[in-house]
Amino acid sequence: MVPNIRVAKPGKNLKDNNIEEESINTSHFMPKIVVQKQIATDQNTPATTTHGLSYSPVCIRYVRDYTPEGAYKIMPFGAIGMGNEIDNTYIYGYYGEVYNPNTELYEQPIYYSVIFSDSINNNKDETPNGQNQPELFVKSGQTTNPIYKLIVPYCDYLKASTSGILTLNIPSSNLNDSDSQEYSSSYLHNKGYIPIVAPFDTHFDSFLLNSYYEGGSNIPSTIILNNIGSQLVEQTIPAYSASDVYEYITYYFNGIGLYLEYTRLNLSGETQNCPARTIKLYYTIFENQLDESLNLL
Amino acid sequence: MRPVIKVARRGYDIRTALPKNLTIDTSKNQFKVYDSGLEVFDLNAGNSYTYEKTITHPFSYTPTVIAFVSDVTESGGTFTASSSKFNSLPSYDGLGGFGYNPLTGVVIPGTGEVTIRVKEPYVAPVFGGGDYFDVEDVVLRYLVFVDKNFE
Repeated sequence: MVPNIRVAKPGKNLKDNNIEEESINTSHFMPKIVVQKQIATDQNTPATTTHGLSYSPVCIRYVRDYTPEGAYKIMPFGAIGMGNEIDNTYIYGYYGEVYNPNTELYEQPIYYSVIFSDSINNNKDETPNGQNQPELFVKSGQTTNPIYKLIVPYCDYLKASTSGILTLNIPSSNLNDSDSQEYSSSYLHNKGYIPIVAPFDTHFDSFLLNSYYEGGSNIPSTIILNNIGSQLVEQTIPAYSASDVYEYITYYFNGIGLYLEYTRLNLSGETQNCPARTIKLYYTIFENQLDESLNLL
Repeated sequence: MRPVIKVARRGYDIRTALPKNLTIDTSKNQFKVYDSGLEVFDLNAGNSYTYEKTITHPFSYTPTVIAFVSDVTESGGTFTASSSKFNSLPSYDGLGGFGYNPLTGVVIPGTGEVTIRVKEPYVAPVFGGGDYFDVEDVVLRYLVFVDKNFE
């Protein structure tokens, strides 16, 4: 029999044997955070920094630009080969310079990388040696090799603080020529530090809807941003598309909250009837702090 | 009173540490992996330059997925998939006026399953695409979590 540690979420019962209702269950491995690093980058030369592991580790990436409170975004898939890469030595940073309203200059953004001990190119959960720190648990049948540790208290784990949905319900309306409308929604976490935020696999950035969805002619009435990157990436190259009404979406987070913004602008030369839109972002904000350097190796 | 397991980071007192300084805290949901895997495949005309991996799951929502695909480089018209350098999904790699289609990687939600697709979508030459390319031993690594991404 394989030993197991399980703890139910508040108000839930382990006897239901529902993994969705358990906060920890050691039969399901939990990726272990071992390194967090930041690097400045630009669009000309990919910046590199070592991650300290001898193999290519699983990682999640964010980029910060220069709005007054700092706008943090999950690393977008972006354009050609844009530095969302990692190998068995380096993390690569490659992102266009961004405008800093404080200095009125275009400056290097900052990459934030969260590195897990788990390997990309081996289907194993690998864990560094604990340097004589306490170990709680090992995988059944493996008692000596540190790569088989399932719970390693000296590594960090993704611990959810809160989750929810940011929703924008945008009504249909007649928009006069050259007029614009802005809608926004936010969730204030007020942590006082920059937390790790999910979704991890989206295009967490600003974009022009008209550049996608068949050149903007087929924008859906409901847009779920969690999967927007995967929805858009197989389409032809995002490109400027002449339209009557331009629709922009921006979403980002900082040390105060998580923000979702929508703007539409009529440049058609005449009044346009703009359709209703519903925009949703399902989010999870973690207790983990993103804007800190960490080396648990 | 509910049972809880908490571990503080080295140098912190479990009795006073802020939640961000706890490495384990079962009063919070810890993100857990439901399924993970490693796939190695070729892209060629025989599979229409497309590889799909479908992972079934028991959840009523789309779970969180983290996935990586090999970085592909070109030299003299020969394409090589790295076994040690990776892009995270969603990815869009290649192109840039070289006359070849890009290599994309996406996560597609479905009822009781998620599909990860790596393919070469056709892109017109005017946008820098054009020819499909053969590439061997492309690596796909994925982690599918218990925890929700969206509904």
